[in-house]
Amino acid sequence: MKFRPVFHLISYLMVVTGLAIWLCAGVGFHFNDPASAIHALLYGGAAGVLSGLLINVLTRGPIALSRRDGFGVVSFGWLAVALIGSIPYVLSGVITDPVAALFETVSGFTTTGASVLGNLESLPKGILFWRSMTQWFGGMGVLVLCVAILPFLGVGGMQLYRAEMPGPSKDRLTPRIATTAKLLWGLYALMSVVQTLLLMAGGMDWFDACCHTFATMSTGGFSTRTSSVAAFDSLYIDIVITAFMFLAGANFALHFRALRGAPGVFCKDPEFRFYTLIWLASCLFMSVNLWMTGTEQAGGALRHGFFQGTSILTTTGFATRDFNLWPLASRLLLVLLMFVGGCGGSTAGGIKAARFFVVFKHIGRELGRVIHPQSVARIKLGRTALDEGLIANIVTFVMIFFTVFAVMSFMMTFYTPDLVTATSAVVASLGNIGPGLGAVGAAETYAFIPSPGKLMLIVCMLLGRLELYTVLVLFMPSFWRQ
Amino acid sequence: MRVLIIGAGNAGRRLASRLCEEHHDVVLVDHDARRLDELGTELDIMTVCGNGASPSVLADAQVAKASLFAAVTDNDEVNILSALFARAAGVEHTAVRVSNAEYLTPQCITDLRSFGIELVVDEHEECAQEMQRILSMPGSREVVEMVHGRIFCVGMKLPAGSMLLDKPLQSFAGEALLLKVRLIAVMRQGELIMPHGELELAEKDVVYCVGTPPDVRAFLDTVYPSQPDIQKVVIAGGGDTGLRLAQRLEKLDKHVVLIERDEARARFCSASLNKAMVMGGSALEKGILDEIGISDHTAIVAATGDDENNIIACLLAKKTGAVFAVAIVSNPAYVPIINDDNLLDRAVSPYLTTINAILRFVRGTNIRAANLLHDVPGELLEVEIVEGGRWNGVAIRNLRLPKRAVVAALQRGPDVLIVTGDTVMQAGDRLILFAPAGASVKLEAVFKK
Repeated sequence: MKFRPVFHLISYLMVVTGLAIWLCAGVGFHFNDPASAIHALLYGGAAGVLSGLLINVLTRGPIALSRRDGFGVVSFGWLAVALIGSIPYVLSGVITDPVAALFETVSGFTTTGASVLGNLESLPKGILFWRSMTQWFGGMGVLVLCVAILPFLGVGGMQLYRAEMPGPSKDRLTPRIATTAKLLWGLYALMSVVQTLLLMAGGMDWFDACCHTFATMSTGGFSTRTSSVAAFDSLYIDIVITAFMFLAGANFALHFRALRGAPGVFCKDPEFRFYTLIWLASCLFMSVNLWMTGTEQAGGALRHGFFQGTSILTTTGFATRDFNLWPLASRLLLVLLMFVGGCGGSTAGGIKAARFFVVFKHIGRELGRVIHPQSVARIKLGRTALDEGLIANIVTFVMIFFTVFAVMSFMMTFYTPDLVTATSAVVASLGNIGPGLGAVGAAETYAFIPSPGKLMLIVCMLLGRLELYTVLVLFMPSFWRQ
Repeated sequence: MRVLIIGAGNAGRRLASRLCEEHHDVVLVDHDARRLDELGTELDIMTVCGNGASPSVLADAQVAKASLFAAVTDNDEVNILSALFARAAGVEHTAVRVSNAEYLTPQCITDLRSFGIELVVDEHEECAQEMQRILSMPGSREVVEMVHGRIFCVGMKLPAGSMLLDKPLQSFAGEALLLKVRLIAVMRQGELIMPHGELELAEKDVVYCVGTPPDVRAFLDTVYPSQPDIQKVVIAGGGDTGLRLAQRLEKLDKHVVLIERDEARARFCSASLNKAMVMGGSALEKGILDEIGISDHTAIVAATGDDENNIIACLLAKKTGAVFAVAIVSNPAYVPIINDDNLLDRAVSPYLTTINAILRFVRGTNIRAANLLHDVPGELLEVEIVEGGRWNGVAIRNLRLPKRAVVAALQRGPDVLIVTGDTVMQAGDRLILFAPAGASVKLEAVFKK
């Protein structure tokens, strides 16, 4: 890895983060936040902008990124952004423990939505706005944003795009990567504006509408209320948020093509069909389960079954009900959905529907081979036969995901009261969902987990958001060799 | 501009990287997924895997959105067919690379034009022409022909003891020689230097000058007095390039010997030639060169279609005593080795002409031609001054050129003028400009209507 160009690019991220924090200081000023909170945001922003500018000047020079450097920029860039992002929490005294502040920030940027904060209503508005905004930036990706706005990246932009964009195959909407990044961010911003307006039409004020849009479009899940979306208790808001969570969990390339006048792409895309199938089946199952067990009335069962199912499948993590109290079958189904996640090319986390689709087909093929050893079978996604290398990559991804899950769960048992808490905390972090079950359920926070446990979950969140490979390659000795 | 390129071979690859540098949107189609994968990480382009002549692959590559379509695979039929589909999809400009002589008869080219294929690049013919130019000026490193052969740009390596050495260029101000040609670029150890008054040339510098063919020739003879006198040319390989070169040289009364390994092809070559001698065999065989007889008036041209064979054939001939050796080398990775170690006198890449022809389309309407130079990071552009255009009646010094771009020459009617700042441009003039890499896009903007 070449340090100078890598840190040069990271310096831009730091400046962008600093500017975003300053914007939140403006919001705090508007709401007459206490001076300490506004100062915290101003200083936090200054730390980002000034350190960014300093590094920028020190590392000036030509930029030519190799594939390796791309991984370095993304992994270290995310770390740098999270460190700067946590400064306002610490300075304002909202979160005094630096590790907890880092946990909150990483949880925001990775669109996890796991929180250490209890009483949200009492917090300064500027800080809350920043908390939600980290999710919006992390959703489509801070580096994809840089690729879109920095004109000089050229080929380097592609390395960053590949390393940050989730999903097994990286769609290119246009020949040039900068244009693709612009279109994706533009589409993301456009959908966010539409959702904000729809939420405001449902009676939310602009602050709540913005914050909830940030958390929905990025599938993050931070709310401005302690009881999450349940605090609004409005069927209309539930429906709007459910719809946008579902859209944010689908591939943005499909949205783009649909808006370009080909709505048929949704029906044709095998991953989207698979995703919709899982979504419908699990939401309906939970609704029926809630109704049959008498947990909810028929209408409520449908409303909360769908809201909660969508929220977990898309790895958002909003709650309208404390699903910790739901029947066992529904609870377990929610945990299983945490592994699935949304589609590739979306803002959702998890393993992704396409990978499961391919793994299932792969299993089918291998079983078939036991019966017909000489059969030749290619795995197809839609009408394209997949490269065997890509299939190996996907199977390996799933293997690593479960290995990390197992190892981290084992280590979490030292810091959590029971097995359900330990495993669900890990999968909720690794899949970027947020709330788990047991002591980290929808009505609880992660505040009680000791610092080493929080650090482990921070690693899980980053691994999940950057899809394992980008972070794990840093641990290969050959990555560091010149 | 959105450009769709079919074929990721040497030509397609180089064209894609060139267009990419100039910020065009490039989509590249090839059937080799591995090669595309590799190129996709190297260049900021979209790649589509599949047969370029298949309508569904072209649809995947969004052919209808492209404004320029270039088919440069090794397969003529694929190139032509895919261009026809591109025309049907409404692509404005189409260019195809064609090598089979069957498709290159005047009738056939007219037919292809009537189908809507705008440019048919005959790579072998262009390559044979370039070889002939090189052989006519063996002291040069590179010869580029512009405005239908009325203007030459020649690059030459300064030998020890050349009269141009060790004095600043301005001290030659009165020399008649330098009034007729214009120095546009100097390459020193791989670095481009723009000539200026204080510059002192050194041995082994490659200087590029522009002028009419006789003036350039005279300049070359003065600078490089010990040029070899080539009487006999041995051509290794009777493929399309070799055969056409032999036909051209025959007309110039050179003694031509063509070596072709394939017996049937050798017979065909013999039938297509009048005076030239055709030998059956390989230039790599021991003894065949002795039999032909190599002297210090003999040049070897290796055009077998295989880079390694070409290089070795040239080395063997040099060892046997040939005075001048030229090889066709299509793999760009070999070129620096050949140039650095002075292995051969010249290495010619067969696809540069294809790229030149295609770049012309990209350059906009007033720019009539664009020529990449082999060893210089830059290109020669030919611009027409149009009636009612912005630059009609303007003195050269008022032309707002990008940094490091220079006006090399101006053609007015039958005359070629070596311009000064006071020369006033008129409608119908053709300007020859040299633009270093990166400046051509800005130049394009300067000459937009």
